[in-house]
Amino acid sequence: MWEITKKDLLQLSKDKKALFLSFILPIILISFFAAIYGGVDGKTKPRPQKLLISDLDKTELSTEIIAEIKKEPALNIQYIDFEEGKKSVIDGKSIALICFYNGFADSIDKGKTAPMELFYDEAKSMEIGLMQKALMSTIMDFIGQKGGKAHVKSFITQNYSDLPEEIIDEINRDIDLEFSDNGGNSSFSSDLKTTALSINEGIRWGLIQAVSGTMVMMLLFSMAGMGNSILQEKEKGTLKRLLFSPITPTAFLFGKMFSALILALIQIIVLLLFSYFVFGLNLFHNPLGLILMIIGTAFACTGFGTFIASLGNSQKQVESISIIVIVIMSAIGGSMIPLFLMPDFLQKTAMISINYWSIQGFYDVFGRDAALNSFFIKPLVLFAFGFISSFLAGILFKKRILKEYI
Amino acid sequence: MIEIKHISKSYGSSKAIDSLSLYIKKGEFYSLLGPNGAGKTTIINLLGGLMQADFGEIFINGINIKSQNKSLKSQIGVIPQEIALYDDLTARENLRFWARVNKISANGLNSKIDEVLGFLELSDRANQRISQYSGGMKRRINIAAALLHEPSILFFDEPTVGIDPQSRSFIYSIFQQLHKQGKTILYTSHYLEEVEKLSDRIGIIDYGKLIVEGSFEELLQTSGIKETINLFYKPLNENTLEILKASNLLQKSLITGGSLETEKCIFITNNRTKDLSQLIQLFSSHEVDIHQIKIKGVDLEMVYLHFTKKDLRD
Repeated sequence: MWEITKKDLLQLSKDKKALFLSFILPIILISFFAAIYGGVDGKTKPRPQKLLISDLDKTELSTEIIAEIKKEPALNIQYIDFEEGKKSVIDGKSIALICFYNGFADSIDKGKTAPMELFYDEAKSMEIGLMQKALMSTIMDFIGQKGGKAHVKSFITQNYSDLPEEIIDEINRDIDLEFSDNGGNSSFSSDLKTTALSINEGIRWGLIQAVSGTMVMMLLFSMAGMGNSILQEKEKGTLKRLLFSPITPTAFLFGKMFSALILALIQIIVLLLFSYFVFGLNLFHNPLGLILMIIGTAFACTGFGTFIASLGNSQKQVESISIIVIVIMSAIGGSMIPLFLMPDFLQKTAMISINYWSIQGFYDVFGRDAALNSFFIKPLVLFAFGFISSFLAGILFKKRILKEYI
Repeated sequence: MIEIKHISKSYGSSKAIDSLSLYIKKGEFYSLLGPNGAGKTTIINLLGGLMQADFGEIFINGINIKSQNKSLKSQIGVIPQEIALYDDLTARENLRFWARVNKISANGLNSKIDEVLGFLELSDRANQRISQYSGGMKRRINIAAALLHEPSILFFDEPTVGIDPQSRSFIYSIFQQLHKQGKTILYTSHYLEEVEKLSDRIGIIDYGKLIVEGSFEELLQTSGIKETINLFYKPLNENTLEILKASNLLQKSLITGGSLETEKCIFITNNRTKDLSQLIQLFSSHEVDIHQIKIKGVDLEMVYLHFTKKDLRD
């Protein structure tokens, strides 16, 4: 029995792939998810949410409330022009914009409802939920304090104007003390009007995320499998036989990529139709954009799949590489975990993934009314992914897979 | 007609073909023999345009393959060592694919496929997946895939590996028919008995060089071998084995097959009386118990071993 155990351990020690799958991959995945949910060193603070601020009131009080909001560690403030800010949210570049309208300070002084509004990207309603928590506590405390104090003082002045000035001053001092002591926990408050910036009501953002995220991830797996068929042809001997025929290596590679592209297009169309008929996904919000996104996504995934296949020396090696690369890319790209839950550096890293551009593009064509230039960048990046990875795959194919024949 | 002029091909620092020249006449059945790694497959790869020689030139039907590689490919049919077919497709689907790859028009392709399937006696299995075929049937479809575009030149790279004698015998009859049709055939195999029967001429290569070529009779004559003496004896003890191995008679030239350890040794002889008496004297002097002696004619295997020696190459 011991001899068998020894033999098995010896075999395992010589099998690099088994070692990698048994030890290295779990370590990578544990590290990755730990970084997302817990921070690398356990001291990582939550990532501040970016909030655009437009101050149309431009008073001492509006400046003061903005200064208070700035102190909130969960928020990262950026001043912006009102219209520009709205466009940034509509284009999906920013999550939300808070605007303090003209008359904000006056209203607070008079104890009235303060005119302010929070605009947000409806596609990011989950992020908004978290942002609102931080924002409301700061704003309501501030308005409660300032508005409540002003209201009481105004009441005293109006109803007890016959009292001596020194007594009114003393009362005002007591009011200031009282409001500073209790930290402004007054029942007096103001509402924060929130407005989702999308033209269509009832867009199911969760569905769009689920469909596009899963679709891209699965498409990447299929395309890696298709790319792997190049190696299968080599191992089976059919590639060699094909090269004896009038077919050129380039024609072979293009033929392979083209069949993969067709499969990818069919796969996307079938999945979208399924989502349309079963879940009611609106496919006709932006038909031209949708066509661009379908082709762009299919092309990017095809090129990437072929590129992955050209990295390995055997089918098994490619299977391992593709699982690792695609799972990681899907995780950082937003297919598996919503982007806003990730640390800042990972959100930036997401932009190197096909998943990110594809999911964002599908958000645009299924619901978001992004400006043309803001939308077009997504299919353009996907086409660039496709071209670059196809080009690299071509070079690697000739260098690695054909090397024994040249 | 195939003409190879002083070609050389290296893989890194290892020389696979070393200034080799060869001429195969139109309609000739030429077999290329050699140990594993001698360069046979490299020659087929070079002739099939899969790779280019480092030096030298190759002409097929008088045309330099460097200049007209693509057009020449339609005149060539390669039957590789591997079963280079798609298992999940049927025989007909496979043949259709390989025909289209070789630029055969879709018009009348079905009747062409039927004809080739009939030639290989696989008509009734045309719509069966290759994965459901036996080894022999797969080999036949492997050959069929190279015949659809009616090439005038065929390269067979060990096309009968791993099949039963019945299938092999049938495939040999196919080769004979193709030969009769006037196809020029370059053939490599380790089944020397069949090579001897099928070939017009045989070339023996080793270490990338052509050692000798000619018809079997010419090779026999060149080798100078007339007969073999086959000695069968009881196991030798270690001491006797060492003494015999060191003896001049055995060291010089006689052993070509078997080995002293295997209880059977084959010796080449051109003078049976003298050689046999010397062998018996040597073995008897060391008390080796010989229980059988056979004098045999020489076959291609003997000639082949004579030219390539018996050292292992792998």
